[in-house]
Amino acid sequence: MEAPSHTRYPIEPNGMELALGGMASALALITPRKGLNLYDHPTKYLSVSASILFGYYAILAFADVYCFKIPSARARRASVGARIQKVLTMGLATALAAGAIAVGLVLFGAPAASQHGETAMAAVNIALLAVTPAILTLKPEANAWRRALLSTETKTLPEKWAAGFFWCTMLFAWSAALFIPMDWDRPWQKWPIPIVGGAYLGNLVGLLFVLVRCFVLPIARADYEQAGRDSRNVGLDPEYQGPITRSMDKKDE
Amino acid sequence: MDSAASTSELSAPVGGSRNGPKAALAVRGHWALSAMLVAVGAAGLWLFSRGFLLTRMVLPDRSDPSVLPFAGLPAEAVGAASAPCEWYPAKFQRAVVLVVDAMRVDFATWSGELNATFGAGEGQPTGRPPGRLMPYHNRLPAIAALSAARPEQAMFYRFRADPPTTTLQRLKGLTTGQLPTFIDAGSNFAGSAIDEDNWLRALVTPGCGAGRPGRAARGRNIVFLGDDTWTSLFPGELADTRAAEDSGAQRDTPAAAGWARVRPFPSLNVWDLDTVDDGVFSRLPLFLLPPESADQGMGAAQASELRERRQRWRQLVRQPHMWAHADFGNATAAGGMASSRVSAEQLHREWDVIIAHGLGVDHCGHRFGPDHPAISSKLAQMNQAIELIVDAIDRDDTPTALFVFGDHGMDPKGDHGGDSPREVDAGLWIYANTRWHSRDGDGRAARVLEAARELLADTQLGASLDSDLKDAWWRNTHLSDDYRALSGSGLPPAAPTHRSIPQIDLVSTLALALGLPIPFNNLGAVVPEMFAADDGPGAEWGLLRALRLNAAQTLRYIDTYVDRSRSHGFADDALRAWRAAYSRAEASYRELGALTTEGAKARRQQHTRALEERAAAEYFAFLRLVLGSLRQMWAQFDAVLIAAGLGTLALVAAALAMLYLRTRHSTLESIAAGACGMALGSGVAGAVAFRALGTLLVSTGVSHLTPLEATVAGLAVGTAAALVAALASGSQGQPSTRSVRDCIWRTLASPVARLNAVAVVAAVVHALAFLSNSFTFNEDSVVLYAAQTLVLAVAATAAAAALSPAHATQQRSGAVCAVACSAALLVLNRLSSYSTVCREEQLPGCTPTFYGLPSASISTLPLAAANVLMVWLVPYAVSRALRRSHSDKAMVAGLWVNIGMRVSMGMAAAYWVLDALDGQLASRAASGAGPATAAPGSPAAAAAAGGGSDWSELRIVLARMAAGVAVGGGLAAWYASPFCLDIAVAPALPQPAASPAKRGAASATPAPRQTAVILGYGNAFGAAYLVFATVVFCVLYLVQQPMGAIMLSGLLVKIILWAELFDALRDALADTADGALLPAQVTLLALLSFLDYFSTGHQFTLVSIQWNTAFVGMRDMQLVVCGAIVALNTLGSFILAAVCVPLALVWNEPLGSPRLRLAPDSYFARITGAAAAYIAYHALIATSTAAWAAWFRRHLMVWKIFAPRLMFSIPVLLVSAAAVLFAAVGLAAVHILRLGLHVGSARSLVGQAIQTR
Repeated sequence: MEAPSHTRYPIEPNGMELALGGMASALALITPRKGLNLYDHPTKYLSVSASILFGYYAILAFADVYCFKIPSARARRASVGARIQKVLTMGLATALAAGAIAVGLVLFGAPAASQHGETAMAAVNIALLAVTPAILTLKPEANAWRRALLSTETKTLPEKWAAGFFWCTMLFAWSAALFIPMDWDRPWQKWPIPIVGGAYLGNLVGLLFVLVRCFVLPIARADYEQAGRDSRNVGLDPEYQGPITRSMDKKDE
Repeated sequence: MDSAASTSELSAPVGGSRNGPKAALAVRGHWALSAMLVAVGAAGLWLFSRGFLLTRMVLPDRSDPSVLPFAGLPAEAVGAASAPCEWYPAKFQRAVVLVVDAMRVDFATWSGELNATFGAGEGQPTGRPPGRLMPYHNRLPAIAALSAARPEQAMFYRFRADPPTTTLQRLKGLTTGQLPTFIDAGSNFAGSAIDEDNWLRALVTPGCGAGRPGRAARGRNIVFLGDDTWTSLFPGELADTRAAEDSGAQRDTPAAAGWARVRPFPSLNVWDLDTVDDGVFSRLPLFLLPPESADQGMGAAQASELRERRQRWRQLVRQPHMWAHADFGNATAAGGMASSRVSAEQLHREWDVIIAHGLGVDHCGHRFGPDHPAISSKLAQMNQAIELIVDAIDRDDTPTALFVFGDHGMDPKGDHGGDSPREVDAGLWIYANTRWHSRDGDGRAARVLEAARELLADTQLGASLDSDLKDAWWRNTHLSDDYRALSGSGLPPAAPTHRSIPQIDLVSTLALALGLPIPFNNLGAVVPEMFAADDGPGAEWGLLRALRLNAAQTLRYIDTYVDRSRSHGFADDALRAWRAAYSRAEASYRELGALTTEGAKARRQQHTRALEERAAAEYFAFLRLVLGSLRQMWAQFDAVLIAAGLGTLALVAAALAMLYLRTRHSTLESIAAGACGMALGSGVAGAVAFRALGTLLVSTGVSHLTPLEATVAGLAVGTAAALVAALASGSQGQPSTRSVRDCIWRTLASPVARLNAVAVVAAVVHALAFLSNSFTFNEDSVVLYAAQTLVLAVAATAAAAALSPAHATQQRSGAVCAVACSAALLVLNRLSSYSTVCREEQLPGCTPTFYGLPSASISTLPLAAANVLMVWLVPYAVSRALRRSHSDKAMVAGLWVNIGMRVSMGMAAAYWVLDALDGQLASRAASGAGPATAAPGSPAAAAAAGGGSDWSELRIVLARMAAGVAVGGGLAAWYASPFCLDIAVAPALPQPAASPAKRGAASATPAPRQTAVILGYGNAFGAAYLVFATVVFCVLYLVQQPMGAIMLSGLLVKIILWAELFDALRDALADTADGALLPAQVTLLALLSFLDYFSTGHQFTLVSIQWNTAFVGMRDMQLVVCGAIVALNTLGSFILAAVCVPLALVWNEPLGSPRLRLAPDSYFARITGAAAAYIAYHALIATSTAAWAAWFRRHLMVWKIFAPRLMFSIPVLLVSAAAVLFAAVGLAAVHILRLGLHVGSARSLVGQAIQTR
């Protein structure tokens, strides 16, 4: 006899985002585009990549499927206006993050007087890869963000989720700058291709990391514990459900 | 706590240390440990350099004119019936050597295509209109015109220099025929005499000279005019004899010695375009033309023609005041250059060799760059000079040769020193008043060259040679590149080809052509055209004879070298290949000899000619083989010394880190007591052991350690190892049971440990940059990246603390302050990375901004004006920082920071404004005197030379006063009374308001109505130390060029922010563990020092050293002072940062600090610990550069990138260590700590009455 799946885990992990996320970011980077070459037109190419990524996140935000749960009945009932507002909020926050990242890129030595388009597009892509998962999962409160991204305190699953993507993407983008000054004369060494490539790679690594940390390990642990004991639920903090669902839930109430 | 110390009143700190009893601060341990560490570190660097930058062994042997080089056989036995004192019969009796410094090959060529396409457009006064000739194109038409008119008397060559392309190195090569070794490159500032055999020595050597008929057997008469580098290289050969002749001392010397007239001119003032050239051209006619006194003896027509030529010579001289010199005093026989023994007439008739070295073109490059119109007027002057010299020697019957050449070229900015094509490609033009080569001879020479090329291509060693040694012809790519740049698009016409020779080929050519022996060390080959048309002695083909002599001499040199040097470093297979090539040539020669003895008729036959050519080609190939392989392998590395040096350096870095760890818990006295004796003992034991080991190593041929090197190596390794052991054994060991995972987790969990881990990552990133040439030459970006990473990590930590709800309000306000400081640091770091002089390797992806305009090599006026803003900004920032603790009310702060500093900085800034103005005026004047109006001696030209000379005195006064105010005023005031303390009477405030955090006030009990308040109490030590740092800053500020001064000001501001940042961070993290954040803190400071090294206009290359700052406040060249100024300029950012290290601890240290007063020795130990950690960073970088340079010792770019980087890390490490350990900690910090302990006790006397603020 089997317990229903939602009783086994406090938060029902939804692997769909992961699968989709991986596909989307891969798609965003490597989809063949007619007449558009990353090396020759990095700005245009990356803007298309950013659009694909943004579209993916917009769909998630609109459908309210991000944040580890099957959309609740209330969420499903949310009005179209509220859903659009959610997408817009996400877009605005991502734009703010992209601005901050662009400033960071210049501070770390990106050309300040030229190649603004490249820098901006790099920032938008990195923001989408690193920060948007956090925007979709974290409460819009400074302390929540601090807890998730800047602390070593024990984290809830959404926090792990946000931190995994954020740090993996950022660290990979940071270390990919290594390739810029090398004298190999490769077309992909042009600004900002290495760091954007690093960010995408980091995003995929983060995806694996999150998969293991948030799903494989808890499930394995839960199975292990369940095998040892009766079917008492063990697992992680059931309280938190993410900012957007939450606001939606409130609205519904 | 020294409560026993007593001073009677509060103002006592002024003279406290003298009157009161000695403060209880023990510094002997500090000095002992510092001295030991610095000495061992220096020894490590010395050992490594000895192993890595080995010099070539200098052989003292000389070529004897009467002994031919053929395996010691006397001249007669070789079959050539030459005159006993000549290896080769002199082709020319006289020679004029005109060195046009930095005459690049494309300056000397004349391109009809360029002229046809872009017109004979003269450079416009300002800038170059697009699509016109560059200002240096086609400016020496005399060379091309004369070569075309008299093809058998003239020939032009591309004259490839061996890098480093500095004048001193080039002159050594051009006179000895030897290759430069890297270690010499740094000694351009102080040329020292050449010990090796050279053609100048052969010239003056009496006894075997074969001058003109009747004047044999005496030294030649030499005239030298120009660059004083020559006289420092040849103090004996180029010694003026006029005084000796006049005093009659000449009679005592052998009559065989010739006379010499030597007029050196200063070479280092690169801003002076005309003095050297004028000095040369004003005196040349004294020798080239008959004296004016002789005019009466000739016909009127002749005399008037002479006058006219003299007039043309006169017009070459641009500065009229040149003529005021005593050399032109009067026309009588006794005046001028003539002496009682050598009349003016004799000066004209009897000179044998004239060496003239003009620096105008080079200085023009340094000052304005090659794209500036000034260079065309300078080249036009050279053109006229060449015409006049040719004219003069043409009128003489004596066979006379003229060699015109550049010793190196210049890069697109007008600098030189490196090995880029435009730096190494100089031009050589040989002209003579006789026919010295023929069409037939040239054809034969070309066949020889072609055959030699094929011979080289056949062997493996030969095929690996540099292309300039294999190919005798060179396509002038500079012209086609310029053509493309000028036209913007389109294919350039086929680049003209020139004959190409390495520069050292001049040596044997010149020696044999003048009848001199080839210098013993010569590695070059004769220029084939010179001898190909000759029949040498004994009906032997001249070229064969010359090449055979040449090759035999080179082989003799190699044999001697191998014989003398136990570990010569020549690869065995190379030696075998050389000997094989030589014996093959000898075999061909003998075959030929057998043929020719059969009958003189056979000599004319085609077969003989072919055989001769083959033998000559084999000799030539041998010479090229030797030269090329020596070029590749002359760096002799000594693995033992390298390992000893690296080991010592690594141990010193480890010892410094250990010292930092130890000082967290122990006093220096206890550390030193344990470590010093042990270290010394171990050092002596090591020295003894290594001495023995060294003997063994030498006898087995592994290494060629000298006894001194072995001793030092043992001493250094032993001492360093013992230091590490002693320091490590005393430190509290970590419990080893902790698992790695636990360790990592702890590091991640603690913000302090996390920051230190990021600092380690940043340091490792910086240190590992040297494993790639790309990172090494982009070190500025790497450093910025590492610094920003660290600051961002600090900012993130602070932000986390600021947002954490668990933290107290005070912690949070500290965190907010830290976030603000780190944000400011991020922005300032990025701003300072804006200023750069790009390395050649970074181009074209880098735009030089240091001088204001990409093409400028002197600071522009707007930049100098912007620098004036700093005069207001920096004192404002400093007093702003002091105001946070009310320290700015004190007298020292008021007088020095608000007045003294402004005065000193103001004068320094004014100095640089005048300097830039001078530059601007001179540039404009030089443009005005463009080639169109290039009447030398015209007012415009004079203005170009003397522009702003009226101000030079004012500038000197300004610079000296700026330094005087800083050192005499600031330092003295600080020494007398460092503390920024004051007492104010204030109404008693309600208690809560009176304590704005810790820096504001340490409050005492509330006073009734009025209280006396000690202003500046909270940051007493930090403020006192900051004042000292500003004094040092003012001195460094003076010697920086405007952009560098702005950036150095930025560094000072950043350092204040840095101190404030970490203090706030300590508050934010409630970091009670004293100095736990120090690793991150000193790492950031070290990164800042590197960042601003680049922003103050430096790179780790010899070219980027700002030599022109040597004259800040100086009238003449004084080696020590000027060298010190250049060092201050170069290492300015490192010195400033090193001096500020103690701020890491003393900033915001209140006057009554319990941790200081309860345990002054522990406190002081922590300051030394901070210094040790700071030096550990630099030691890590130095070790890394050394290790990677050694690793890449066979890398293509080792001499261009890795070795210079290593050379720079030596002074950086040593100066940083000395500045922080001796000056900053040993003197300045000790001074304020001692005084502070007194003040503290004085306060305890006054007690409760005073409320502090």
